[in-house]
Amino acid sequence: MRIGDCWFDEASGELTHQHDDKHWHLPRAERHVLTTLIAHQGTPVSKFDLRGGGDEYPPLSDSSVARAVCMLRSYLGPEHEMLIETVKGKGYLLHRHTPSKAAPSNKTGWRYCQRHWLITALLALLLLGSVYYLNHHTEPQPSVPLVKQALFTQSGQQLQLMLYANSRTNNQLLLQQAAVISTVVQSCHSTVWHEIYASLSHDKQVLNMTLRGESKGQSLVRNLKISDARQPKDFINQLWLQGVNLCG
Amino acid sequence: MAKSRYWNWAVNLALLLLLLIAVFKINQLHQNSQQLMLNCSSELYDRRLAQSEDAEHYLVVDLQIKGANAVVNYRYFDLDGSAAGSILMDGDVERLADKQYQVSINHKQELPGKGQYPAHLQYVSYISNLNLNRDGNHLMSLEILDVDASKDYAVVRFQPSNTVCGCRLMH
Repeated sequence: MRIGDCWFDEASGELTHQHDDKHWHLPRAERHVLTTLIAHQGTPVSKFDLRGGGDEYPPLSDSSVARAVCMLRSYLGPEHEMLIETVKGKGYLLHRHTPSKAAPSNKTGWRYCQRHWLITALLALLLLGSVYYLNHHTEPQPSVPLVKQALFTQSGQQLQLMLYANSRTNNQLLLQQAAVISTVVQSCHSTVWHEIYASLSHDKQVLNMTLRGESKGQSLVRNLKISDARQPKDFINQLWLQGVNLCG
Repeated sequence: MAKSRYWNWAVNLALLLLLLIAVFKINQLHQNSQQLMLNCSSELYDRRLAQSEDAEHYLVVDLQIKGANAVVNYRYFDLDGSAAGSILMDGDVERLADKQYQVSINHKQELPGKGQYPAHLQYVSYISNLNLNRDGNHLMSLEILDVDASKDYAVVRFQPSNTVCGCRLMH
């Protein structure tokens, strides 16, 4: 009987590949499985039925059946191995003609379709996530001073006083210190400073003052950090600021 | 069938291309190729001593950001110039915006100096210890409020301490 490119002689148990001129004398398992499949060609045969067995020989094990099918497929070669199809839950089916690889069954097509849409959905999901991230990724905005106030010395020189706070409320202590700075600066005749930055630490334990200015073409920077653990706090007063030569 | 497959893969390739562009953009947002060196000197006054004069010290903070690494060195001095203690911290840095950085300190070393620790050193030591012991890192962000590279100065704000500080830009 012809199976793909092979010829099977049931009587002798010889399988011959007609193109390669190869011969195989099939062992008992392969011979029995192939004979049974031929007897039921076109319909699935369960593994149980393929096990056979009788008075002469014991039945084959499931793994022997599976191995025999595998060997038979290898004899048929890659072009015709699909003649023996594994039918899930039913067993094995010997086709009369080799199913075309170019035209997969509906099931294969469905599986392909499922896989394709899975990849598309995954890519689309990742893309949507990335676009969402890019749209919602807002760079932190530059800090804006709580108060930006112009101060003038006795000679009419202008300075900027800038106060920085973490919140726009509960800044009474900082504003009190700013008032002292303002009074002292406005009592100066002139100063080398152009800008004064002031901030209170988040726990209100340290007052930071940064003075920036210029003298003889050189940039000047002075930082004062005043810690005060006393209650009530009195970081600075007019006398103290004059003592540290705020006017410069 | 073949034509349908062709279109399927064309759609997938187009999606993949768009995804790659999006990933490239996200990577650009988080790239760490920055370099910044600041030297910030401060006069420290501790006014806790009610009757006598203020305790005075000098503080020099060197901040170096290179790529994804940051080193912050706090050095404290007495008025006569002798060392009053130091804290050396190092960790990772991430650029949040053009002039904003997030520094995650994961290691620090404290060295004692002569006499009693300045109040500011005690404060920095306490806060960093608290965060390192509790969270394993000490987070701080810095924002450059004003900068003039031609005059080598920058005014920087540190968070969460809300410290504003004028610094020299080092090259």
